[in-house]
This record gives sequence, C-alpha cells and structure tokens, in this order.
Amino acid sequence: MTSPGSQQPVSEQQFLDEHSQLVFNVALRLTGNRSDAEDLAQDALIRALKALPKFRGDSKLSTWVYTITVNTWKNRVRAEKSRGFWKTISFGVLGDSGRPDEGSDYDPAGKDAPLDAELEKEGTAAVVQKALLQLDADDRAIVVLREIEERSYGEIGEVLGLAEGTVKSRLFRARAKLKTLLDKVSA
Amino acid sequence: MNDAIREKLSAYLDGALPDAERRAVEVEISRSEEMRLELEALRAVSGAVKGLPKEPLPAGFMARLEARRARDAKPERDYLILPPAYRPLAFALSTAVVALVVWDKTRAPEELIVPRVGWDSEKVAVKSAAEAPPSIDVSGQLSALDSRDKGLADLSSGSAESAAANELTASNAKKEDAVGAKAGAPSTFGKHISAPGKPLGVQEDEPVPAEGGFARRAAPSGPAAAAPAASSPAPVLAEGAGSGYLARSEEERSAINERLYQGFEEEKKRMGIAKIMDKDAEEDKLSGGGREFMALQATPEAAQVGRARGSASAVRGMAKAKGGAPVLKALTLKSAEALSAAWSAAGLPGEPPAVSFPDQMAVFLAGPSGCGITGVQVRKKFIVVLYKDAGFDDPSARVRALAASPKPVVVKPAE
Repeated sequence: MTSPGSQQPVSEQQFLDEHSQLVFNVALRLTGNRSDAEDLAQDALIRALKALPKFRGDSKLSTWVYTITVNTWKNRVRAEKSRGFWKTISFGVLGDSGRPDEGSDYDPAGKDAPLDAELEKEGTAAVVQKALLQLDADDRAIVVLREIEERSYGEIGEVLGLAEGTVKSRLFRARAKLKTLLDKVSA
Repeated sequence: MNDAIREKLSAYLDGALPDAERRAVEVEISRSEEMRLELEALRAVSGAVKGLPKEPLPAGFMARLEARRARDAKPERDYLILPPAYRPLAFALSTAVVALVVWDKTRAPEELIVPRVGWDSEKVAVKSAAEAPPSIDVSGQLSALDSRDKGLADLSSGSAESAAANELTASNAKKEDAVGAKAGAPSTFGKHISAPGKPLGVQEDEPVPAEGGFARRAAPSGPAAAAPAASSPAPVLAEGAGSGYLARSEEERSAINERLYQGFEEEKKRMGIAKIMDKDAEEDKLSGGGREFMALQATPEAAQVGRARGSASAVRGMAKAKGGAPVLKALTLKSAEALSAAWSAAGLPGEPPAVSFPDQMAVFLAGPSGCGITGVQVRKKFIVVLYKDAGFDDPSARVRALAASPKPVVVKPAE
C-alpha cells in the first residue's frame, strides 16, 4: 500500500491516524447523529483498510477515502429506503440542543471547541443540520464536501462521479434550497 | 436575476471562476445592489454550514473499530442455518411436505379398511359384549360349522333363533363371571369380550392384571365349569401386550408364555376342544376325496355345554347349506349324554344306538335327512368317515361306534 504520488507505503495504523477523524466528520454531517456516524465511519474505515493494499495512487488518498465513505453511506441510504426507513432525513434525529444526538458516549467537553463557543453556535447549528438533512443524498454530499471539507469542484466530481459543471450547478441549487429553508426558520 | 447569474455568483463565492469571468462578475456586483445582496446571502448560507461544529471521535471509537475488524475477519457467513448449497434441497423438501399435507387434507375420505381376522370380519357388526355370540359353542365342531355357514348370517339378519342363543350365551357368561368373582378371580365380562374377529382382546388403556382375567367368549355354567377358573385362575392372554413385556427378562417372558399356554389349554378343555388339527396334515392323501378337516374335536364336557347352549339350533342349521348344497359333519362323541344331545338336536326320532362308552366313542353324522355312514377308515393320523347324503331311512345309520381314539375325524363321500 502506498500513498498517491509519493508511492510511500502507508501502514494501517498510519492510515487510521490520518483519516479516522476526517471520515467521522463527514459521516456525522451526512447522517446527522453520532451513533449512526460512528457506525458509518467504522464501516467505511474497515472497507478502506481492506481495499488499501489495492490502492494504486491514481487519486489523492483523501479523495479515495471520501469516495468510500460517501458510497458506503449511499448504500445504507438505499437499503434503508428499501425498508421504508429513511431516518437520515428525519427532523427528529437532532436533540433540542441542536447538537447531533447526544448519545451516552458523547463528550460535551470536546477538545476542539471551547464550551462557550459551542453554546453560542448551538441554536444555529441545529437549524443548519436539520436543513442539511433535507437535501437529497448527492446534494448533501456536495455541500458537505465543499463547505465542511473544502474540496474543489473537481475533487467532489471525482468522489461522486459527476462532471465539474454538474457539481457547480447542483451546489448552487443546494445552497439556494438551504437558503430557503433557513429563511423559513428565521422568519 | 436569473439562475445562470446566481450560479456564477455561487461559483464566484467558491473562487471557481476563470479569471475573466471572475472579473466580469466583480464588475457586475459593483454595479448591482441586488447581485451584491444575493452574494451576501449565498455567503451566509455557506458560512452557516462551515460553522457546524467539528466533533471529536467518540471515546472508545478506535477500540470498537478494532473489535469490529476482528469480528469481521472471521469467514463471512451470510446465512443463518443452511449453507446456500443446501437451500434448493431444503426448498424441495419443504414444498413436498406442504404438497403432501395439502393433498391429504383435500382428498376424499376413504372407507375404513377393516382387517380380516379369522372370520369375514367385515360382515360382522360390532356388538357389545352382552350381545356377542359365542365364537366356539357347545361341541366346538358344531359351532365352527355354524359360525361359518349359518351363524354369521344369523348375526347379520338378527334372526330370533340366533338372538335367543346369544342371549343364553350372555346369561351363562354372566353367571360364570359371578362364580369367578366369588372365587376371587377378577371379572372380565364385558371388558375383554368385544366382538367376533377380536375374540381375546384387552382394552388398551386398562391395566393388565397380574393373573386371571382370561378372556372368555363362552363359558359353561355350573360348578364343574367354574372349578378350573376358581382353582387355577387362567393367565391373561394379553399379558404380553403391556408395554413392559419386552422390558422383562427372558425367564419372566417364558413364565408368562407358559401361563398363557396353560390357560389356553384349559380354555380349550373347558370349551370342549380336544385337539386342533394341523390343517395340512396328510392332505395329499385326501386329494380329491377328503372334503373337510375337523379342526375341533369334542370332549365329554362339550356335550353338557351343548345342551345348555342351544346346540339344537346349531345342529339343525348344519343341514342347511350355504347356497343350497348339503353340509355334513361328523362328530366324535364320547359320552351317552353327548350322543343323546346330538341325536335330539338333529331332530331324529327315537333313541340313538347303544355305544359302550367310554371304551368306545360314537361317530355321529350331522347332515340332511337320509344321510348315513357307509364305512369308517381308521388311518394313522385321523379317522375317515365315508358317507352318502341320501338313501338311508334308518337314522341309526348316522351313528357308528368305534374304539375310543383322540384322532380327528374327516368326512368323505363314499364312491
């Protein structure tokens, strides 16, 4: 297994150290709750670890990991849809605090964000997450990869198998829909 | 403002426009307040999403990931019970079972098949014990003939004669049962006697007694007849039918069989059966000549029983033929009482010829009027009685005195 371009071998532990947080963040915003996010992240990481020996370095490793994560999530969405459960787009998945579902393993004193800053953003974050969950799968993935992961249109297109132009137009429509949803909440 | 301009504003916000387009958009924004507000709105939405808090990995995430990896490392098994290779077989078997059940539920009910046991059991109506006819009557020989040729017809037609005989039999059996109860023997009347075709049956749910309770179809009355039952209670014929029979030791089973055999012999004696002849004995010597074998041979006790059981009707019935053909039977009688009973039962006038019992025995030919014995041949294993069924005016021609012999009697038409 090698890292793209440099062809340097990447150990499993190194891979996990570098990408576990990234995968979990994307999974959290795609699913909207911590338990589903952890399940999805673990599933995606396990798949990535299994496929890692076959990674040829044709793309950035991070792009490859995003691709696995998004595809794993989309497969789950399809499976849940077929069972009549699409809870990932339900409004009930977020707690009243606006924080993605505070499960028993949720650590309110997160290391990354000061408590005061979290409290200030709590209301807005809940509304934004709910609005995000109302986008369809590809649009949500585009928004997450662009706004949160700050990936380029080309990289997003590579992850989702879309042309750059398609990514641009769908991103605009997703933003417009989010704006409409947020305007309704704030009105 | 159309969507194309808004889309350019979205791309401008992301810095994704080529330089020329970016400069053109910047010019437009500086000129249009609407475009500026639209850009600010898009920037606000983008900023709101970007502002979503980053969450750290949940505590124990890596440990759970490793545990899951270890679990997933085991060979994948996507089936619960059966491997995929066996599923077609399981499907076929389950389908066959369902089809069988459906077929069984939907097919027309079949007539109950009555097993043939001894007599033509399907012709015999099942009756209660009190109504059950005697399977072997008075003199054995008479009853055997009567049952085959006449008795069954009487049962089905319910003739008064047969009903009277049955009633008498039931009455005698009850008396005998009462005697047995006084003697300490368990009563079996109405329990073990069921119907023709199942002569010695025992109710399955009834506990098998240790001894006694030998199934009696017909029993003589009087102290002489009750004596064997009182002195040595007959073993249970169905003793071995209990579930514990096979669990017993070889010695115990042998003892049971011995008791059963003794009981059977006593029952034969009490019912007047001296010997049951081998059906195939010397059959070849009688080819074309011997018409019937006497399976049963009367004993002196049988004559007494016969008088009490209405053997007259049985003897009279013997002369009746099934389909019109005359039926003859030779009886070996070993007492004057038995001879007199048979004589009177056949409706013959006067007295029977004198026979010096017990040194001699009387061979009595039961059959239509005019029949008579033309000769007697004492052979190695049986006695052949030659007869003619017509032409004898003297009824004494029906009786021949012979030296007492336990051999069975066979009748044969004289040439």
